Formats: sequence, C-alpha cells, structure tokens
Amino acid sequence: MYYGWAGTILRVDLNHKRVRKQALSKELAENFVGGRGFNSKMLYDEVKPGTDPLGPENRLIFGTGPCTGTIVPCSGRWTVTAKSPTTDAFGDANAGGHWGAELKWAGYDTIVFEGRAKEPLYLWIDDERVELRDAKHLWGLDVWEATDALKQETGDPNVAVATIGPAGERLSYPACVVSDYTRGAGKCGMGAVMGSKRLKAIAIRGTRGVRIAQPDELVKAVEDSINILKTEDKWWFENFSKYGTPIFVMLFQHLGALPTYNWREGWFKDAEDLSGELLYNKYVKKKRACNACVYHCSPYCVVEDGPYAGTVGEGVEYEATGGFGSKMGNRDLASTIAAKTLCDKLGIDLINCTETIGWAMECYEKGILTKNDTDDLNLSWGNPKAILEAIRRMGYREGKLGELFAFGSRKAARKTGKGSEYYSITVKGQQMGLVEPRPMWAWGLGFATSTRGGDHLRTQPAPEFMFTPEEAEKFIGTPKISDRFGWEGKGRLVAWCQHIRTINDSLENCKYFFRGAPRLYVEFPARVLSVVTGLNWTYETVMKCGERIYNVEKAFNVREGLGRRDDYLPDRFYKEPLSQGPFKGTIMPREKFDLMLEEYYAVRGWSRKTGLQTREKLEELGLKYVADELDKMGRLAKPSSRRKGAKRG
Amino acid sequence: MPFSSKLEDLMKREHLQGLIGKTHLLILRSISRGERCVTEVFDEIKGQNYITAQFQVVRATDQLRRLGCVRATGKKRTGFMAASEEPTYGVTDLGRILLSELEGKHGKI
Repeated sequence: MYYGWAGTILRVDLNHKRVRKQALSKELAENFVGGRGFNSKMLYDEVKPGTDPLGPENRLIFGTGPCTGTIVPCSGRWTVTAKSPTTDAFGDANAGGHWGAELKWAGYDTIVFEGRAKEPLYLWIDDERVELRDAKHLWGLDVWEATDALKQETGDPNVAVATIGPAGERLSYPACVVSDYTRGAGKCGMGAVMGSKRLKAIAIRGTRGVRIAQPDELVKAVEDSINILKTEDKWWFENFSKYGTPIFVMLFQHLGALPTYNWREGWFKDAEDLSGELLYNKYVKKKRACNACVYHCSPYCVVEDGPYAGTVGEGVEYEATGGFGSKMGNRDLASTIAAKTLCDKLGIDLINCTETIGWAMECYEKGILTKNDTDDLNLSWGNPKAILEAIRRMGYREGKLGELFAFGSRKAARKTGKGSEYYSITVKGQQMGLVEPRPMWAWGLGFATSTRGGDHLRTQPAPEFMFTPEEAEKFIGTPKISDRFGWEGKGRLVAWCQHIRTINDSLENCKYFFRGAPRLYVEFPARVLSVVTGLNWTYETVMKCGERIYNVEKAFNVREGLGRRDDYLPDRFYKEPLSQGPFKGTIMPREKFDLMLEEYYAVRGWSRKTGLQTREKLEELGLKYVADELDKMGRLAKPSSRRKGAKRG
Repeated sequence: MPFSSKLEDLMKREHLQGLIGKTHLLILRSISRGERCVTEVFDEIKGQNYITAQFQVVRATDQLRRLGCVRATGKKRTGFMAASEEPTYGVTDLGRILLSELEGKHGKI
C-alpha cells in the first residue's frame, strides 16, 4: 500500500476499447516521483525513435503527483506527455485547475492511452468504474460546450473534464487540452495528439481521497511553508495574489524583457494600457484558484462595454495580455481578454497561437505574406479584429491562413520559405514563452536547453533577478548569477533550476510557489514528500530525481537526433540589438552564449563539445539501459570529450 | 568577523544567517543619506555587487525591515509598477549599527 501515490496506473487501449489497471511499481515511484517524472520515463520506454507523433504508436500520458489532491499548497496541477508534433521530439504540457485532484481522488496516478479509436470516444472515470464511451455527439463541440454536455450527461456538476476543442479535432499543432473550462495544458501540441487518437475528453468523478503517511506533520509542513512564503517572499505573495501573472507586463517592461512586435523589442510604449493593475481595476470581478492554491491568482474577468462587451473569461494571464498585446503591437486590453477566451473555447495554446500570429504579422509587414495568403485578412500590427479572426481560422483550420496556422510558426515558416524562418521565434520548434532573453541571459540559456523546446517554465530561473547576490552565493554557489548580463555561473543556475522545476512538475506543484524565497526551494519538496509518502527524502535525493528525469527527457531527444545545434536561441537575439527602452543596444553575444552553454554541459556532466550525455553520468543516475541504447545508436559522448568536459567542469 | 550578538540573534530568528552582506551595506548607506524608496535606491546602486534588477533590492530591503534595521516612513509614487506607490524607508538605530559592522567587514566599498 502506498501513501501519497494512489498506486494504480490506468492503461487504455483505444484500438480495442480496453482498459486495464496496472500496479504502480516501487522503482518508478521512488526514482521518478510522479506526474511529469512518471510520464517522461514511460514515454522514453514505450515510444520508439522515429514514431509519428500523430500516429497510433505514440502514447498520450496524463499524470498526477504524490501531493496532488492533498492540502500541500499549490499542488493542483497535472501533466500530459507525448511525442510532440510541433517539435518531433519530447513533448509535454502542464495545467492547473481541479481535474488532476479529481483523477487522484478516483484512485489513479497516471493514465496511458495507446492506439487510435475507430470513432470518437471519451473516457469516463467514476472511482473504480472506468469505461470508454461513444463521443460522436461531442465531436465538433467547443471546449465549454463539451464540458457542459459531459456534466449534464453524467448528471454530476462536480465532474471534472479535460477535453479538446475544434483545433484538436482538426489536428492543428497549436491545439491544447483544456480542463475545467479554462486551464490549458498548452505546450507541444498535446491537443493534436489527443485528436489523432480520436479521444475527445476525459471526465472524472473521484471520491476516494489520498492516504497521507503523517497527517499531523503534513499540517505543520503546510503551515510553515505558507508562513515562509508570506514573510520571506512578502512582496511576491501580496502582489501575485492580487494581480496574478498579468503583473508581469510592467515587471518585464522594467527589466526590458517584454517581447514586443514579435520579439523585435523588449519594451512597449503602451505597456501601461496592458498592465496587470489596469486589468485588475477595470475587468477583474473575482479571483479563483486551482486545487489547494494559496494565491488565488486566476482573474475572472467581465468586459462590460466597448466592442467586446459581454466577454467573460477566467485565467486571463500574462501570455494573453502580453502575447495578444505587446507582441502584436496591440494596446487594446479588452481584446486580449476576448482572444484568451476564444482560445479556451477552441482549445488553442496561447503561446503557440500568439507566436504564430506574431510571426505572420511580421511576415505581412515584410511582404512575405500577402492578402492572397491571408484570404484578405489585414494582419497589420495592433489590429485586434484581425487577431480574433486569425484565432478563429486557426481553430477551425479554415481557409489558406487557417491551414498554414495549423502547423504552428516553425513548420508554417518552413512551408512559406522566403526568409520567413528568421521571424519564427522557436527553439527546437517550440514557441517561446513571453520573456525577452537579451537582457535576461539565464532565461535565454533556459529556453535553449529546455527538453521540450523554447520554454520558460522548464527552467524559470527567477533567482537571476529575484535572489539577492548573497542568496545566490549561498544557494547557487556564486553571486555572479545576479548579473543579468553576465555569463559566469549561468550554466550552474540553469541546471539547478531545471532540477528544481522538474521536481515541481513531478510533485505537480505550481512553480509560482517557488519564486523569491530560497528556503522554499531547498526545504519544501523533500519535507512534504517525506510526510506525504512516509519515505525518507532529502534535498539531495530529490535533486537527484530531478536530474534523472531531465536526463531521460534529454535522451529521448538525443535518440531522435537532436544535439548541440538544437540548444541555441533564434538568430534574432544574437544579431539584432534592442532599439528601444531601458536596455537599448543590448544583444545576446553568441560567444558569451557559447560560454554559458559549455558551462551548463560541464555542470551536467555531459560532453562540453557535443552536449551529448556520458555513460558515467547516466549510470550514476541509474540509467544504464539508456546509456546502452544511446551507445548502440552512436549517440553517447565519446570518452575523450567526456574527460575533457570533466576536467574543465 | 561575526556580527554583534544582538544582530546574530535577529538574523537567526529571521533565517538570514549568511545572507546579509554587501547588498545590504549599499542599501543602508543609500538610505542613511536620506529617506528613499526602493526605486531610488536601485538607481543609486545598480551595477555594484552584481545588482542588475530592482527585485534584488526589494528583497534585500525587506530583509532589513524584518531585522528592524530600516522602517517604512511614508509612500511615494515612482512608476515602478503601473499603479503602485512604494514605501519610503529610513534607517533605524539598529540599522546604523549594522551599517557600521558591514563597513567593518567589507570596507567602505
């Protein structure tokens, strides 16, 4: 019997409409923690290199963590994992809400889907009872309609639903999986993979709870951690609770890191019109929260007048207000609420969507795309009506533009040619989250080395600008990481943050709980894991699990042929200095980036020259079988480069 | 060189042992010249001791507040965030002691 973990993995064979329950192994639990960790290990083991991401051989894996469904603060998240059609490499996406907790309360850690259904299906989980049901009547409904229909059909308003919308049904790469109406698991085209399996939704009612090894100790750990957050990260707690992620518009504006005009600039002259403070004062009617959240950061917005009057949306976040705002030269805040809500209904990832439309706007400005390509849509900067229409066409894969957008910006750029690839701001094909890297070098390295492509959440090196230099020295080993424009120590910081964030995702704990207070980073995960599971976890064992999981994901990508050349930012950041704002003239010098990258490889124990993993590192992490496989493929670092890297590291 | 026992005790109570250093020295010196908000302090000290972001000063100033070395004295609108007013801070007697001890440790940087 497990504490924390439910102890059961659901295996769903869509080819034969069969469901079976598999016991969770102790080895998986103790070495891969849960959530993202379980998913990543299973994806590596079960999906062969070269698999078509939209083919039946791909897996689609949903996971919760050992703390999901408990009172551990901000533990209401879940991860969905598959080989990504956006990157043709490792892919996953993470969301909040209540769906993950419901899955856990029903008695399951993980669901693994394989094969492809002949006709649309949905999975119904009611504690012990698990069945695949016909979903023909749901196919074609948007996310909100499908969610309402399933609550009505099951006769229970408390049923939690994760579903795809029209974008996922049409295998559009920007498609995501949306739970609880507005919580998008947005990265890597997971909605398209779900659509390819003809799986419309997963509806869950769980009533069985989670067993806790030391309940009294858990209450103490939770109280202590909230106290640390409120006292040692006071500014963050107070302001993030009030404004949520939209606060980043002005925060990044001050750091010169607010992506503007498709990443041409890091500063937007009309940023105050998009600020979190304005959103809060003008449109936010109440705040909502994911399961067990202490922040309640999710703004529930109502637009009462103007062209978007009647729009109601929840979870209006920075990727919406900034992504549909500054990134597209648009100062109309209400339109960004409308755009976010439309994405939720159609089941579209905000980041892929805003990157793809931003790319198209710059191509339109340069004459690379014309009205002939856009079916007469005027894609000029700052045109909110065109933005909303572009989203609609993306969701329904409608017309020439909708068909082009269905591939996301990188593959759309490859199809378009004419130099348009330069304006596609992606790493490994994944669209980048909204942080300008030229004045934030650790963020740049984090984007470049993320195992799911250009992603800010894989690393989220907040310590670069939130820890004091003294905290940086004590917890990271050098105060130099506090210099946003310095390369030294950034490899160490990024690897450290990647291990911590991997553990956040494997516990299924929100990263915003870990921001400015170093004590939370180093004390909290091991303490809650110990009291929840009853096993003895330390900071060192937790970090080792984070490193192990990261290496499995890296190996998945290496097996697919990725290497050092894929660990770079788009050329724009090396070539074009920022021309406006407080950091005018700033660039990411390529030679400094190389120094950071090589420090990063050395800290990780990988080849400093090729970025490939070494046998000794993989064996140290208990991943001998991974080393053997990579060795057979000729994808393991050669011993000579290994020694060279170790000496310098 | 250790801090005086009163300051050591306070740092222990606030879990700040080993975390008070040059950044705090720069902030205390800035505020000791007159009441200032974080934005003004940051503008004065940025570029020194690896300080490149306002948040680093926000955190360090709050640590000084927890130790009782600075106190809020008023509010000022600076435009740091779009609609916020920032507190201004003044140095307390204990803050002057800490400043002197930090100067002893790090010199008058």
